[in-house]
Order: sequence, then C-alpha cells, then structure tokens
Amino acid sequence: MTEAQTHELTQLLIDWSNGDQSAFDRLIPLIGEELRRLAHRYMSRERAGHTLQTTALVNEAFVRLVNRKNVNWQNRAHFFGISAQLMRTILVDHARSHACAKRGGGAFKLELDEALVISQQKASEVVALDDALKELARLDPQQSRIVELRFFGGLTVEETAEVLHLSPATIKREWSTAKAWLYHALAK
Amino acid sequence: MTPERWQQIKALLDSALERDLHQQTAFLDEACAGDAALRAEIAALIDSYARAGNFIERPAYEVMAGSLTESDLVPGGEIGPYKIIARVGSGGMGDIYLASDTRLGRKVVLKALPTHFTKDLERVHRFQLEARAASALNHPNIITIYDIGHLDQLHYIAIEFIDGDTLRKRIKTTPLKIAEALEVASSVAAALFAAHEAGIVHRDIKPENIMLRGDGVVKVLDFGLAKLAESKPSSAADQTLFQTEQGIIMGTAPYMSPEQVRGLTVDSRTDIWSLGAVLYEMVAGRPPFEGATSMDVMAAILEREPVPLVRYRSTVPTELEWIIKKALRKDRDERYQTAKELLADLRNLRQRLKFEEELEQSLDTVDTRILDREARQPTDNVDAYHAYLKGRYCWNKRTDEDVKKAIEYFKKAIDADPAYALPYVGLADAYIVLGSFGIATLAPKEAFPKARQAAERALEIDDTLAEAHAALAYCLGGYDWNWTLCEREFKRALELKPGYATAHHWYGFIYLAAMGRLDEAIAEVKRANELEPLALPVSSNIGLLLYIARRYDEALEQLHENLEMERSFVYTHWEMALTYEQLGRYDEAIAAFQKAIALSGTSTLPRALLARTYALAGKKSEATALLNELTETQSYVSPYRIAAIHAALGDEDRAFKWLEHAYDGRDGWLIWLAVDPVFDDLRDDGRFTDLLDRIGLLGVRRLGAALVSKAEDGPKRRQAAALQGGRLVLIVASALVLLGLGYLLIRFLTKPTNSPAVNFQQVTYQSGPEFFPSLSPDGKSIAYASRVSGNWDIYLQNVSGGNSLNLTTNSSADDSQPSFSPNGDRLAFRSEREGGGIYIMNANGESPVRVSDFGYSPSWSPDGGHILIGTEKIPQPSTRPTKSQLWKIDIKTGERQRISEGDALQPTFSPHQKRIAYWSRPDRYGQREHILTIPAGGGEAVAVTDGSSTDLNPVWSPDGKYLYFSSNRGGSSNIWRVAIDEDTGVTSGEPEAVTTIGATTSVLHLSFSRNGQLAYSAQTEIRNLRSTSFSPTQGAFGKPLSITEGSMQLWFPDVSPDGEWLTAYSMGQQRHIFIMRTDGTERRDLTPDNYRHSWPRWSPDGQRIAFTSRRTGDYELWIMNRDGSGLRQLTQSAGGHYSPWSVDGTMIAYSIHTPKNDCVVIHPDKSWSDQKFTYLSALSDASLSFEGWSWSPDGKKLAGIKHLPNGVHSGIGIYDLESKTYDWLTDFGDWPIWLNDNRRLLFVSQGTLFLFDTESREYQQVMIVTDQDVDIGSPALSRDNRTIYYTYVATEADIWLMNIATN
Repeated sequence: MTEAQTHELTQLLIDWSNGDQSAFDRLIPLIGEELRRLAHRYMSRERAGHTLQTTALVNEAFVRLVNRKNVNWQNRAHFFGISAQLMRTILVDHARSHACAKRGGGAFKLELDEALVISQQKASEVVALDDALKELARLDPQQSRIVELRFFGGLTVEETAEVLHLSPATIKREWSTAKAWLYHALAK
Repeated sequence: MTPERWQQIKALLDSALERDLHQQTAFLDEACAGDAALRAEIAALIDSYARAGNFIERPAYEVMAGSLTESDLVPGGEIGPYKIIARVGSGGMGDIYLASDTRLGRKVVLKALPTHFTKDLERVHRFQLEARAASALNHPNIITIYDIGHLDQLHYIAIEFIDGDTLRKRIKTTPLKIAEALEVASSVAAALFAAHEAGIVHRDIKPENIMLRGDGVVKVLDFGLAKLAESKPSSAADQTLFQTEQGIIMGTAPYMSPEQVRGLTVDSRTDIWSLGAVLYEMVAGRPPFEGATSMDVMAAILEREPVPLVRYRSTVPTELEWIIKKALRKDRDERYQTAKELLADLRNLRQRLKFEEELEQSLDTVDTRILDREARQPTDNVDAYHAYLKGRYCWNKRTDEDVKKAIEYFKKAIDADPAYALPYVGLADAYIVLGSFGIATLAPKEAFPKARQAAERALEIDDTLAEAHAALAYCLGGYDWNWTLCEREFKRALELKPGYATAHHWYGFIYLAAMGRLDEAIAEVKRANELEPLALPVSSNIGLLLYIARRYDEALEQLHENLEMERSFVYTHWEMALTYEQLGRYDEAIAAFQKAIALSGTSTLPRALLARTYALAGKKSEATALLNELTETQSYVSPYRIAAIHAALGDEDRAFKWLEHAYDGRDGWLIWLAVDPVFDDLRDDGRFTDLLDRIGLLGVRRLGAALVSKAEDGPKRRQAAALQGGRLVLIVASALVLLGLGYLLIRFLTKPTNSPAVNFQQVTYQSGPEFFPSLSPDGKSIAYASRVSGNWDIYLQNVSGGNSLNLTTNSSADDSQPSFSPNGDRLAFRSEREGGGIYIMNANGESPVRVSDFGYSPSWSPDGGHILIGTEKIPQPSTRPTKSQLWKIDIKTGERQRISEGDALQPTFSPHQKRIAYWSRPDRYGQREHILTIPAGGGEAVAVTDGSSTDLNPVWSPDGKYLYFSSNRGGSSNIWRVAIDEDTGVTSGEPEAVTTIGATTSVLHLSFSRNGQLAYSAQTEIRNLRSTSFSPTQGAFGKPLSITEGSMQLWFPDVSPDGEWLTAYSMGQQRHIFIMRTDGTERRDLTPDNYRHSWPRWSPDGQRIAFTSRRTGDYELWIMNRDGSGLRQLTQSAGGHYSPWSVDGTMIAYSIHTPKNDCVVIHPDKSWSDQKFTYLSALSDASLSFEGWSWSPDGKKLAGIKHLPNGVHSGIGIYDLESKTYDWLTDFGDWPIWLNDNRRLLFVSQGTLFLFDTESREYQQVMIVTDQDVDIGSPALSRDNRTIYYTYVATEADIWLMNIATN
C-alpha cells in the first residue's frame, strides 16, 4: 500500500469516525482488499494448522492501515463495534457474490465449472443469516448487536460482555435465545 | 412478530432452556396455560436450539475462510504425520478428512474437532483419557483409533479408514434382508460385548455409527467419543447441546434409551437398547420411535411401544420380534443384561434361517421374464446397470449387429462401474456368440481368447458368479477342447445357480452333445427352455440337437413351433433347412436357407450351408459358384462347413484338407465331429479317427457310429428319457420325506419374497428422447411423448412391450405431456394446435376436445372432474423469466379457478383429493427449485423440501403416504421420496433415495399407476465432436462430419494451428484432456490420472496446450507440451479457468471468480511470482463479470462472455485493451471466436451458430441444428477459417418402469 493510499485511508477513517457516513462506503472496498491480502497471507501454506483468530486479523489490519493517533476512537467498544460492523459488510457482500453459483444452461445440464461452487453453501448461509439478523435487530437490537459482535466480529463471550458493559451470564442467555430464533428463521 | 411479543417469548424460552429436558414439557404446559400458539412457538424454538448445534458458534470469517482462501486443512496440507488427501464430510463434531499416514503409508480418517470444544481444557483432557481407553479395544468389529494429537488449537483423532458405507446409507438405498440385518446386529453385539468387558459404554449406537465394509465386515465407530461432549452438564441447555452435537438432529434421539432421556446414568444395557432400536430399523425401514420433534420422539421412547414389525414386513420371524422386544424393555432390569445374551439369541435365529434357506434353494424356482431375472443388482450405479440390461437385451437377439451393440453397452457399463462383474460376463457371452458357429462373424481365434479373458476377469471380481463359470466352461469346451475342465466348470455353474438357463443350455449344447450324450443334451436344453421360454436361441437349439440326434420329425415339429413365435429368428430357418436336407427335401431346404440368408446380415453361415444342399441336390454348378464366392470373401467362413461342402461333392481329400484348416482355426463345429450327420460318409477313414483323437473325442466315436444305425429307434429313446425323469422324481420324493414333507410344501407354496424391493424394466428403446410418461391406472399401458415422427406426438404402448401407437398422428402440431384420467379411459394433454391449449381425447386417440386455451402439464383430480395446469412450459428451470400460475379447470363447464398465488409447475393431486403438490422456483439467492403442497381448494402452501438442492416433479404414491420426486441431492439426478401426511402436507423423516446414483443420467417426469409402479424418463446427453466445412465470405457451411462416436463425452474442441490435430476434454466421471487428429484417429489421453482437467487451448506455435486443472485441489491454469510432458503450473490463485492465447503467444487471458470476478492477462512463460498482472478494467456493475474467450488476430481486443451472478451466460462482448472499455454486442450467445478478418465473430446460441459483424453490428445465422433434441457446444475455427469444429450434444431419453413392491 503506498503512502498516498494510507493517507487517503486514514482520512476516510477520520471522516467516518466523525460521522461522515459516505466515507464508510468508500472505505469498504479499500479495507476489503487489504483484509483479503492479509487473510491470504495468513492462510498460505506455510502457516497451515494455525487457526485463524479473527480479532487478531482485524487488529492487525487496523494497526497497519491507520495512524491511530489521528482517529478518534472513543473506547475499545467503539473500535470493536466498528470492526465487527465492517467485517459484516465486507463478508456479506462477498458472500452475496458467491451465493449464486453458476448453473449452466439448465438444472439438468452438468455443471460447467465447479470452482465457483466451492463455498456456495457457506456463502449463502451467511447471506441468509445477515437477512435474518436484520429482522432480529427490529425485534431486539441488543441481541442483534451481540450476534454481530460474536459472529461477525469473532469476540468471545467475555469480550462481548466487556464491550457492551453487560455480565457474561446475560450475554450467554441472550446468545442462546438469539441462536434459537435465528436458526428457526433460517430453517423456515 | 412484534418486539413485545418477542420479549415475552424470549423470557419463557430462557426459562425452558434452563430446565432439564423432561421437565420442559411440564413447564411449558404451566407457563403457556392454554395459549396453544405460544406454546407451539416456544416448542419450535426449543427444537431449533437443539438442532442448532454448531450454528454460528464459529465466527463468520472463519466459516467463509474457505471462500476467501483455504480452509484449515486442505488436500496436500499436513498435520503432524498425516497428509490430507481430501475432505470427505462434516459431522456434528467437526470436519472429517481422508488422510495418509506418511510413516506407515496407510490411509486413515482424521476427525478434526471444532475449536470451540477444545477451549474447555477439562473436556479435552477427559476426552483424551477416554479415547486412549477406547483405542485399547482390539476387536474386529470395532474401528481402531490409531492416534490423537493436536497442532496449535486444532485437535484431531486418526481413525482406521474403512472402505464402505454407513448403515444409514445402506438402509436408505435398499432395505436389508432379514438375514443381513441379523448379521449386522450380531457383529455390533459382539463389538459391544468386547467394549463392555473393558468397561466402556458406547452411548451413541445408531446407524450413522455402524460401517459396512465392502467385504461385508461390520465396524462400529465412535467408541469413547461420546464422552467428549459430556462434562457433567450444568444446565439442561448444555445437556441438549450434548445430545445434538454428536450427530445429526433426529439421528440420535430415536436411539436414546429411556434412562438417557431421563438424564440418569447409563450403563451397558443402554447400548443394548440402542442396538435393539437399530435392529428394528434395519428390518422395518423406520425407527421404532418417531415423532415430529425430538421432544415427541423422547416422549414416545418413554411412553409408547413400537409398532409390531410384522406390520412392515410379513416375513419377520416371531423370534426376531421377541428379541427386539426384549432389547427394548423400558425397565433395564428386564432387558438383556449382557450383549453376550443378545448375541447368542441372534446367532441361533440366524442359524435357523440359514438352514431353511438352503432347503429352498434345492428346489428350483421358475422365472419367466428374462429381464426380471437379471434384476439382481450387485452394483448401485444406475448407469452401469441400465447399460448392462440394454446389452443383454441386444445380445439375446443374436444377430451380428445387435451383439456388437451389446458389446458397446457392456463396455459402457464397465466404464461406469469397473467393479461390476456382470458386464464382463456379458462381454464374454457376446464374444462367444460372435465367434461360435451360430453367427460366426468373428474367427474363433479372435473371439474366444477375448471371451475367456472377460470371463476370467468376472471371476476375479466374484467367483461365485454362475454366469461367469458358464461362459468359461463354453470357452474350455468349445475352443480349448479341454473336456474335463469344461465339465467341471459347467457343473460348478449349475451348482451355484441351478436356475441359470444359459448354463443348462450350453452344458447340453456344448458338452453333452459333443460327448454324444444326446438325450441328456436335449433334456438340458429343454430345461433351459422351461426356465426361459422367451429366449429363442434356446428353443431353436433344441431343434438343432434333435437334428443331430437324427430325430428329424421331432426336430421339424420343434422348429415349426419356434417359427410361430418369431418368424425372423435366423437360427430357426437354417436349422430347419438342415433337417429338410437330411430328409432329402432339398427344395424346402433351399427355400429355408434363402430366408436365413436374407435375415443373417453379414454372417456367411447360411450360404455355406446352402452350398452343401446344392451339392446334394445335384446342382453342382450352383454349389461350386457359391463355394468360390465363399472362399474369396473377406468375412469369416467356417472351414468346417467348407469341408462339409466338399464331402457332399465327393471330394474327400479336399474335405479333409478343410477339416485340418478347421482344426487349426479351432472352428466351433468340430466339437460335434463325432456325431454330426454331415460327415457320416467319412467316419471310417483313418484321417477322421486321427482328427477325433486330437480333439479329445475318440471315446465318442463309437457313440457316433451307433447313432447312424439307431436313426429309427426314436420310440425306444423316448422311453429311456421317461425312465430317467422318473428316477429324478424318486430322489426328490425321498428328500421330501426325509426333511419333513409338510413343512417344505408350506414354505414352497407361500414363497416368501426376499426379493429386492425395487426392480427396473426398460419400456421404450427408440433413438431420440421419450418424455412425460403417464401410466394408466391399471399399470398396463403407458402414454408418452416422442418426436420420432418429426413433430411431438403422443404414443400409447403396452407396458410389457409391443408396438407403440401414435395417438396424434393426424396432428401436425406438437402434442405432448399426456396424462391418463383416473379411470384410464381418457388422456389429457397439451397441444399446440389451434393456437395452443389443453385437450382431452379418448385413450385410443379419438375425439380430441379442447378444454382450455392455455396451460401446460395437465393433471387430473382423482374424481375425474377437474384438471390442474400450470401456465408455464418447462424449458430450462433456471432460466424461466416469469412465474407459472396454478389453475383448476372444471371439465364439464370449462370454468376455471386460479388456485395459487406463488410460482407453481407440474401440479399433481393427492390420491384422496386432499392436497396438490407442485414445484416452485427459488425465491432467493442460494435457494433452488423446491416442492410444496397446498390444500386442494387453495390455501397456504406447506414446504416439502427446502431448496438446498434442486427438487422437481412431485408425484403422490397411490396410497398418499409418500411424495416421490426427482432431485439432485446426493450429487446427481435421481428419484427420492419423503413420507408425507396427505391432510396436512407435513413431512416426516428425511427424504430417502429410491434410485441410486447415476452420474450422467437424469431422472425426470415421474408417473405412478394405481398398483404402485413408477414410470420415469431417464435422460442422458451424449456429446461428440463434429466438423463442417465453412466459407467465411459467404457464411455458408457444408455437411457435418462425425469426428468421434461413442460415449467419451468429448467437448470444447480446439484445433491446432497447423489444422491437423484437435484437443478436447471428456465430460463424465473423469475429465481428461484428449488429443486426436482432426478425423478422430490417433486419439490419446494426455492426462491419465485421477484429477479433473478442462478447456484445453493450443499455443499459437502448436507446441503446447494450456488448460485448467484441479490437481492441486483448486482450479488453476496449467501448461503442458502437446505430448503431455512438461507439466507446469501457471497460476496460484484458485478458481481460474479458460486460457485463450493471443496470436503472438505472449498473453493468456484468464478468468477468476475468487476472490472477486476478474479477467486477468498473464504471460504464459513467466512464473507466477514474476507476473505483471494486467487486470481488465472493472465493470460498472460489480455483480457481472466478463470472461475472456478469444483474442483478435491483431492482439488488441479480447472477445468474451458476460456472466451474471446467478451463473447464467448472457451475451458476448469485446474488451478493447487500449481504450480499456467494454463493448457489449448481444444479450444472448456464448463462446465467441474471431475470424481472420479481425472484424467478425463466430458464436453459438441455442443450437445455432451465428456470425457477428462488429462493424455493421449485425448478426446472421450460419448453421442451425433443426432437431430440437440436439444442441451445439462451443465452436473452434481452423486457422484458415475453412473448417468449424464443434460439439454435437444429442439428448437421449428412454422410459423406464420401476416396481416398488411394499415388503
């Protein structure tokens, strides 16, 4: 990433943290690229067997991209909350483009190309989940937030509790019922 | 739902989840106090929670990491000493991989444990202890745990690899015989006994945990692993987690013992219960305790008794019911206390049943349908099986052409399933027939070694195959003249399968007749005829043997009878002719030979026989002329028969000379030398005796001589035959007496059916597709649509065969989609006449009447008063632009009523007119076509399948209990069924497969008859390469030439720059790159390995080929030399495909969809790390993509295809590399290639080739394929643009019938 690009990115982050919503839209493709390249390196053969720690990845991405002193991070919660949101947007977009696999001329002609179907299943699950989560947000914003932090942001129960200023027991309970509701919604 | 409501529900759900399982019901009853809706919602949510398992426990990024880059364990990756080969599945406890132990070189199965499990150290520790204990269990029926280990956070277990299927899979495909179920249960009981002795309780015995190895050995899995999730659950919520995380929901609950449901401690008797439940399911086909939710199942376990087995299967012995009852006692003190007791009872029962079975086999059963007999299926590959049946059908016709076709079919079956033995036998039988004296189009020296090889191969696979022994016996006798071994093999064949007609046939015909034991020979062939009265070769051979036995009148009688059955069977005619000849009736003989010649195609036999008759009749010149003709022909002529001609001409020296030729060539007729009438005059010659000696027939000589004088002794011989028969009866009678007459008779009369529940029968054979079968309610006739007359018409045919009748022959418009009325007297159908609509005609085609001016796929209501239609045709389901509506039409009044709001196609009424089933297209991304039902009068739709796979064509079983449909879940298109409630539309249980995997055949268009037969259309696409000459200036094309034939399924041809060679790839189970000359010769497989390879493209210098390959586990571009050497991987970014070279050879445009849609230009000679990627500019709509396919001659433009997110190709366009802009040319079409003029493009769409002129921006059709069952694949142009190469895709579809017997 060139210096000019880092500069642009930092500026966008600053703008966004100051409330400029359109900056967020422009951030996504840039950060997405970076995340992907990082993920690729993370997951390359030399490191096989190392499980991917989502929060570590996001942390590293932000550290590399941003001159933190200039960005107005209010607290740890804000930071994680934003990253979770960001991850959600990036991943769901990516999933949407993957969820529809190539089907050729008709259901009964053989697949021309399976490369695209590799994770179609997973991708479409994520898309469906995102839709369901939006519905849950309407019913219970706090639960939706918890799911976003844990599922998209990769936070543990304890970390989520810290970010939201709630007890771990509460998080667990909310998580369980949210899980039940979401699974039910997806199975319909 | 409102937020307030959700809070209310959430609070209750929370409390419920905190309680123990069996207390939840009570809590709900109290808390919901009468509000049934509320209770139902919470119960459903509890259920969902239980099913959810690992759902969203792993963060999204990690879940999708597979789509971004690789998942944790990839093929080729290593973990500890294990090298991953492939991911083979995922269970409730994490992913499962096939790996190789690099130290020991053996295959193992690795189970990777979910990371969130392993975060609890206490659990991990306990698991390791338990796994260690389990690994100490050393028992043939317990799967061995080799190793446990971890790499960072990733924990794994290495387990013995078993080449086989789980019991679950096995039960799904075919119900087990009772004997098999007992075997499996006994093995499991033995395993349990060993484990219990070592203090280990399995806790989770179920069909998913029982493996059946290929050789029949049973292995129990997951001992000790059940402990992993158990950790003194602190709350009921965790406890639910424990129960479900081990496996599929509903998979575990049905096998839980009452004490497990109650949460009490378990002991070895728990395993006994679970085994009892599994045994029940093996026999009944369903588990003993069922319910809509896990809670219902558990309630059933605690409170209800299972349905007696005899309701599912009438042949269940009462002892088995009793054993299962004892295993399933709710009070564990009343159960079997040890696995040993259970094992003993199982073994006793098994012994008893075995004994009874052996008794029965000693009495022959008579089958009358040839194909029915072949319905034993030792393969679960439908392609192989169908091909084999077709081969047999052709073989039975016994003409040169048909037998050669049979060989093709048998080879196809072998390709589809190389471990399936019967096609090898088919091959052996085919070569035998081609090389033996009947057809004799192949010289014996050519045919018999092949036959023998095929028979021996079959025996390698399965040496209990009677058919293979019989084929081998034929070779040993008819070719090798090894009479001792021949007799031994025949006897073995008959021992293994006394009901195998061909063994009797050939035993008599080849061995006994050669040995001069003609009466016995005739008896054997007659026995074969009894077993298979429809097999003409058998019955006509009786005639031939009678002729050899000099019983000429009987011979003629027999042969005339055969003629009644089938006038065009060639053998009958020349056998009759031979008999006339012996009787001196030369004119009749000559006439019969003429008939035989007319029917015999390329076989020279009848002419050789005729020549002799001419000689005997004194027509010397005709005889000599024919003789000369025969000696000059290129085809095979039997030297034996030439010798016979010379003998008849009186030229003994020549006769013996030709007999020597016969001996050298192993002519099959020689086996009868000792008894054959044609050489009676030569019998006394020393040369004759010498010849007999060399053939091993010296001992028969005396018999032969005796025959000559005994020609008049007919009556005496018949008496002898009767006496022999009498002796046989006596033996059987004493056997009966010894073994208990009454018992045997009862068994014999009631004939318990242990036959397979499903057998197949092919109904139509025409070339071209037959679609939309509709069975008449009585199951006797079938209507279907076919294009064989030029337009679509409806045909009627008897199910058992015979000619089909074109019911709409007077209509020149297309008529299709016939549907029988419930009483079978009328047919509704769709016709394009008069603007199109739905018509009804009588079942004989008369009086068609219009009932509607719109609609497709008509189906009747059970009371015959209404017809259901969908408003849309069904072309390719995934490309339908509009919705299809469901309408009901009153036949009498014509009144129409719209029934459904959503999209609905191919509706069918349930048998009691309660509901309508139909399929609907997906309504969101990621979903596929799925099935729903609505109440008959309209109303809310209830889903039957969820759209995770493509499900179509639902039809109700005649009793309304099942919905059958066509589905591609499981990998390819097959028939599935699911149990359904006809009133509510609620399904129970999982869908199960009814037909098994057919890789290239699609199963469509189902139809039921009232007696439970299911007809379907089995479709295959057959791809072959063709070329046509082309005139670029005029845009005209010439006559198409075939380049390849057969079933290689080659497509995507690319022609070399020098115009001499083609590459293409095969599309089947294997995808290999082939190279061949442009006339199809010198074809070679360039990638003979187990990986998939596609889309080969020539380099501009013609030395190399670029292609896409999955050998690394992902699609990447590779390059190789044109001889297959010099393999080099070009890309390392996964998901790449297509590799068109620029004309100067410096650029390849390759398209990827991972991580996002891109087309990139790379240099073929640089390594991946040295590449300077030139991305094509991004499209304004990021969901679209452009795939580069062909470079312009000046290298400045790239022609390519527009690709929508849902996978559909939607037009061609050009990318200009200088201006970096796109120019979309059309919104249809595929595979555009440049012409040399740098101006026009050739592309293909819907069976038509087009030329597009980029300057005038106009396009014209160049070549149209008029037959709609054919499609054209991507074209390739020779460098001089004078030849087009393309793939010709023909659809073949035949109608099959499946008898689904209810056991």
